[in-house]
Amino acid sequence: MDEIYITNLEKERESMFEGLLNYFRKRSMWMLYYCTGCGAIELPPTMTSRFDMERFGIGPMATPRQADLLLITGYLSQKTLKRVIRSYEQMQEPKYLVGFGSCPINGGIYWDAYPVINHLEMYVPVDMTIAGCMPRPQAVLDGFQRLMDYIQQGKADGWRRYKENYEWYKRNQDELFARTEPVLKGWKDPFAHMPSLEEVMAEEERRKGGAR
Amino acid sequence: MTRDRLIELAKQFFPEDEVIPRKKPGELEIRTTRDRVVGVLTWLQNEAGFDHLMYISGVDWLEDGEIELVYHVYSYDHKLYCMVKIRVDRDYPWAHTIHKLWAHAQPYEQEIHEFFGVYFPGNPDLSHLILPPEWSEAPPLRKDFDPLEYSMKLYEPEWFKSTDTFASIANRLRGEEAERIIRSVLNESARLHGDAPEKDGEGEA
Amino acid sequence: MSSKMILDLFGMTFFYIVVGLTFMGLGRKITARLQRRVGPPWYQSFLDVFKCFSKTSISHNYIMDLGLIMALAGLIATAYFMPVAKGWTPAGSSSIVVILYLMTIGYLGMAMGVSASGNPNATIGISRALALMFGYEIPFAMIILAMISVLGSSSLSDIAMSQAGGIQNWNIIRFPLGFLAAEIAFQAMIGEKPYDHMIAPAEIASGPMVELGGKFLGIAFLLHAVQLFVETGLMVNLFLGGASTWYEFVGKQFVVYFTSMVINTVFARYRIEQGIKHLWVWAGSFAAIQLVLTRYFDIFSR
Repeated sequence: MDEIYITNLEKERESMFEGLLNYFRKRSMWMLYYCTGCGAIELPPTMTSRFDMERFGIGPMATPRQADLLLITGYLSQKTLKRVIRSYEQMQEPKYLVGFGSCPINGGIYWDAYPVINHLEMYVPVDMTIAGCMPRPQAVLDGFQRLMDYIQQGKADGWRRYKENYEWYKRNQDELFARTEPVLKGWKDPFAHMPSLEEVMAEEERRKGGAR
Repeated sequence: MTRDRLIELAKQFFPEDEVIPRKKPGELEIRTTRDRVVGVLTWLQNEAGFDHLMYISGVDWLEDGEIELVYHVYSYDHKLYCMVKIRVDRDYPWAHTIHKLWAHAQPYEQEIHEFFGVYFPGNPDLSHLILPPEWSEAPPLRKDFDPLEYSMKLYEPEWFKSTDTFASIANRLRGEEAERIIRSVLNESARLHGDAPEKDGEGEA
Repeated sequence: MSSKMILDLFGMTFFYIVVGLTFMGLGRKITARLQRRVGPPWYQSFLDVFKCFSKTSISHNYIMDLGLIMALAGLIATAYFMPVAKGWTPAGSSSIVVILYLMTIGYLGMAMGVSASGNPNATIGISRALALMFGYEIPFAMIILAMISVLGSSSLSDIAMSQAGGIQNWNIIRFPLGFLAAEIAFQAMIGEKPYDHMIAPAEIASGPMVELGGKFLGIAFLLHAVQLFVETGLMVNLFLGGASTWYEFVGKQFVVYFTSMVINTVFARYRIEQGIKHLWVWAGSFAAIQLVLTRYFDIFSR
């Protein structure tokens, strides 16, 4: 039970000014999409003529420094997660992170795959998840509008949660990246010292002799 | 060169090896051993006109205690496709490198080393290409590696599984009511599942 | 400097920024309509700028801060030399040589600021921008030379006043080849397609802006807004007969910008060496022919 991290900070007082700024933030979201998986293919139709995301001021941006919104479009492997965390930390506050499809939520169809993480929210704060495999453009737009509501109400505060609960997130990240013990029983590589051909053949002979 | 002619020649050159035509026309299979495979591939490349190495794949035969390496080679001249198969010991798996024959065999061998643990003495680079550098488990494409167990242990730890919903609620809520709501959800969950998570913790301790 | 003049300057700065940002929003709307989209509202750029200034930002060193401020100051100073209505300029004089020189301060400030961020993409973008500058400055300077040689004055307000009295007096009629050359160069000047080598989001991750986040990006937006005002204003004063009122001026500016945005929508991007070659071969040869015709054959002057 003590594993749950409960934030006991006071609810932030939202001034009129903050409300106004939130209006600007929600009406101008620049997104950085991290095309890890299949979700990226749903974004072009969402951006172009048919669904036209730019109506709401949402547009693509080239670098994390400029973006407000990080889209994780699909499954995330352990190696990619490292880059996602780096990109997320480079973004300027306030920043929002949207998990796209079922894979960032619980692993999706890759829940039993060894390289794919299952819960994105263990490692970075997720402000909004859009369920589906993959979500259609309508669902994406609906999700973004909900995110806009959350921003206006001040509920999309993942960046604040990340700062407050940094130890919790960092510990979960370190479980992947700074692990010292093997997860399962580990493995002893007989070739760990990178032997030469002669050594390998000698060892082979020795093993055969031992078997005899 | 037709397939029949090739089979005839191959049998002549490598009498100890099995040369089998496959069901599909234009495909054949040569089963050989680790010591002769470089000779077979050199012959295929230089004499028989198989100019393209498509891939090297591995198969783990857990019951036999062997790992099979399959070299897929293709001839653009004769439109023939040949699989050269060897089997190596599972406990001490190694094979001769062929990156001098086809330079692009190097990353294929690197990948086989990464995913099956087969060692290629003489290959210039056998570092991790795809797996994360922290990888300390058995090569993941071996049959005795359990990806489900790995995934559950690493990505869904016990404490997170039991507190999945609560952790997300706890992160969303602020103030003192958070704990009250979490407590109630926890009790509700305990009622549904028939056992309380607190009791679990005590039992383990 | 009287207090009225200072007020004028502040008021004009506000005016430039508002006009530039409105143009940017309208430009996005135009692009959207041409692509059969609804597009963002016309005030989208204002929302973007306000949002940018409400964010945190990261500065790599003080050169980066100073460089961007210098760029903004340089461009605003350039805009003061732009005659707005009936030849009136906030700065009093409107020498075209001063305008062309001050405009480079904007680019150099930007170059200094973003190069200090240390990102290689920014450096590539800046080097592209400066290379492109070679491409469009030469044709543009030749056209201006032709105009000065006819009129005998290098003041932009004199050039604008000399076109008074109806469309037949506009330089677009008197210097048709020059206008063509200037239109091509203008496209490169405001960095729209086919000459958007400097930004190129898919290639060098938006070039100079790659490390700019938060408030710096807001400044970059304002920079672009003022730059739009200056460059469209230059085209209006040089070719479209200047203006007698400020709203006529803005209207003509919008026509220039509209044309540019339409070209931007239908074109793809040149490679950098293609772009410079294209500018030199086409814009440069049009401008040179115009210069020769004007200077030695006296065909188009009245």
